[in-house]
Amino acid sequence: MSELKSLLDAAAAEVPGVRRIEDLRGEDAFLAEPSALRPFVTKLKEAGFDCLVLVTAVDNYLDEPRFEVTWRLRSLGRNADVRINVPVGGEDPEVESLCDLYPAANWMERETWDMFGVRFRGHPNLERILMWEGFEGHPLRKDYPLLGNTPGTPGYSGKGGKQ
Amino acid sequence: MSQVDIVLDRPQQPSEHQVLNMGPQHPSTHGVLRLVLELDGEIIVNCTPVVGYLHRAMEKIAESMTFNMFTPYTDRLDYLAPLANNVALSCAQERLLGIDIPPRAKAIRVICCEMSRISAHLLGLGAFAMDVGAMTAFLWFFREREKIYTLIEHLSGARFTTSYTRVGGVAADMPEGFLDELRAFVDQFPSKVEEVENLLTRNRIWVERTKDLGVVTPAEAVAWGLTGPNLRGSGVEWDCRLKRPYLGYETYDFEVPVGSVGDCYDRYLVRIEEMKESTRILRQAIERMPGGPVKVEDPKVSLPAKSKVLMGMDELIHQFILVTEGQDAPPGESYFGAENPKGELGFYFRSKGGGYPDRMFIRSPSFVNLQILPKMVKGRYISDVVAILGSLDFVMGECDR
Repeated sequence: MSELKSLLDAAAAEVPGVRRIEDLRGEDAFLAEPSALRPFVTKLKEAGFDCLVLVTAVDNYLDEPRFEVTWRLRSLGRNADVRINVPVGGEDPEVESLCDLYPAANWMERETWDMFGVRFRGHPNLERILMWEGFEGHPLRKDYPLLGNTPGTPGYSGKGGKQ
Repeated sequence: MSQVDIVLDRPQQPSEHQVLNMGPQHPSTHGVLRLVLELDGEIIVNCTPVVGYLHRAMEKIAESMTFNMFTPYTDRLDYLAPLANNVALSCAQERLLGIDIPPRAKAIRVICCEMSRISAHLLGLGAFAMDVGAMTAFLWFFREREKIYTLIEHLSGARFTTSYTRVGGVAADMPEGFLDELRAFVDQFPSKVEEVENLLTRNRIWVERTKDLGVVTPAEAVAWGLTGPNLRGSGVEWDCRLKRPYLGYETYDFEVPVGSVGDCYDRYLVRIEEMKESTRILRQAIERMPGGPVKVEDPKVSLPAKSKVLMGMDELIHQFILVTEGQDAPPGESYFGAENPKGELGFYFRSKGGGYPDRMFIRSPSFVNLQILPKMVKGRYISDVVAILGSLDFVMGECDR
């Protein structure tokens, strides 16, 4: 177990902009700058983290940077998971796509774009996946209205949304 | 010579590719999956799955609900194994809250998971067999499934929308005589699986329709994030129950079947074997069923007994707080993945404290497993798509959330 920790820490030390963060349940978790994501993940992949479990984002509305994109990598051989959080902000949040490293990232990155409006640079086909083409807005953002309906929605009444 | 080679060996002739929409209402797409197939004659050049027809914004809904309030929504995830989804959600919430549940609750949950696994595989394989033309297997499997649903109804009060678990345990103890009914089912079930195996496993048509079809190598399976029987069909021995045990799975004696080739036939075999292993686990759970409470006796986690609420001040306050504000979660992140019939169903929680999660992400196995489909069907015939879809065994309710 400690061997794994030292391996991860060594990988994090080699890439500037990555640091270990405290986790609620003692899992291995790292906070990475957007630019450090790809080098860090490449190192982890070489170390045997060959499976991508999930990609998603969290909206820290009214905080800056607003979004935190999270990846969860797994090494089947070592039976270990590692979480990488990358804060991104700005008008048009963007992080790098990991589709070429993990084919499984494709749909989950599309979903994160669809739901949060976080772009993935270098994604081969960054389109909406759960919502339809032409849908406006990103529903899992905290400022997306909970009530009312959107133009283009089936059964749209013409009334605007409520906060 | 494989079919792909036959396609490649043919002299290239200028031809127009035809685009065919399969679904969203096609019977073999098991729900509302749409496949846009680009065809050269009857051979698939390209396949684009279109998902999202069943999107219900469950993750958004979860943000305005306390933990127990979300349980009924999980019935609608993988609606072929609602009990297993209930268990996965509650385990994930308990991981966030840092709660350990009593042994009897654990054993009941194991029974829930394994009953769901059997019933989900029965439907998955039955529909798979029916899609490639074996009607009898479907009917025979449904007979068994009906027995499980009777058991589930007895246990939770509902056949489909069970909502049986709560944070810290289960809603209610098993009814009287339930274990005997379950034992009766478990005793006769292996022979029924054998009957269907006799129909299919050495059936020449079945073997020719599924063997060497949709082959996924172990490296591909891992890279594409496959989990569950689809991963194990490719020969990767990974099972959350075995590798990172929860609910005391480490104390049960069971095997994790793996395939060797990674084709549709292997995935079929893995599911058949898994049903037998689930039967073994069920038998052990019945034998050892510990006594004691079925939920945590902590008033901050689970509701106090109704009789006490009506008479006592403290219990009334606890009931009120739990129902209105929910369990107080510590700020932070947690992830829990459970081995569900379809694969690893994971719940990622981000909490800022309080009874409502700030973000809940459902890592649905069907969604991730479906990604590999275009790769599997390329160069195959349309009729093979049906077999591959059946062997992947996905549920759109879970895929689209």
